[in-house]
Amino acid sequence: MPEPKNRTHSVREIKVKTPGGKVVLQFRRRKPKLAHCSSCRAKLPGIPSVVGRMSSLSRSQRRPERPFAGKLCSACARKVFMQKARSIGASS
Amino acid sequence: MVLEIGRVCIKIAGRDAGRHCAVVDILDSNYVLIDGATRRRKCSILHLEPTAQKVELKKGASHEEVKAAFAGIQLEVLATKPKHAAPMPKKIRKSEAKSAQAAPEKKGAEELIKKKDSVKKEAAKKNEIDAEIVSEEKSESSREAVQGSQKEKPAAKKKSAGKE
Repeated sequence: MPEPKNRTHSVREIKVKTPGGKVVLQFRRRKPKLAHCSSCRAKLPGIPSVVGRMSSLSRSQRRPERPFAGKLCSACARKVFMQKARSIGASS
Repeated sequence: MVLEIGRVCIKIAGRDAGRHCAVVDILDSNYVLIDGATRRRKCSILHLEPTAQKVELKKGASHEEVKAAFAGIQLEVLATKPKHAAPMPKKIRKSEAKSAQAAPEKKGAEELIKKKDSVKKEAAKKNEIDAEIVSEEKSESSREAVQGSQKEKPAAKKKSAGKE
């Protein structure tokens, strides 16, 4: 039976083979999944997946320095700005 | 070329993405110099989306000229305040702080001493004056006394002589 602290869904079981040849259960903390673009579901670079330390990181360490960073990928953000530029021309 | 000098564009990449800018100078077939709501710098034409607006600018216009031109079409320009370095915070040690507190106390003591001395001097002067007056009085009285005693002395002498 695992210890009470390991009886939780945030901990996963791993089977490890020891040098003596025995297979032994070990427990590891689950990592949060990477952030994805909200429009095209691509993985967003520049956003770390850390266990429990995200709030201790500084704002610039959590996401890139760009509008829509952390929400849209760079390609999708460019589309937004292009649309903005073209709509200005259309309205004027 | 669509990207002529004065053409208003929107920057689509980087930190300044989504902001208006005007082409100030054409450096290359791939690069232009931009200024406006973005930082004044060299930019790739692939990172610019031109708009239908155009502004009258000379080649290599300064930031102030771009600002004036943008004001005409009601667009804002990046404003940077001149940075003044704040004075370094000077660390005062506890011992120094204590000595600084003691120094005004010392000064106060010195002033007090000076005051006391001056008071003493005044008092001494007064005493001298009084003494002079007293001595004058005394001398007058002593003269009288002497005169009196002189008169008495011969009488005393006579008496003593008589007794003897």
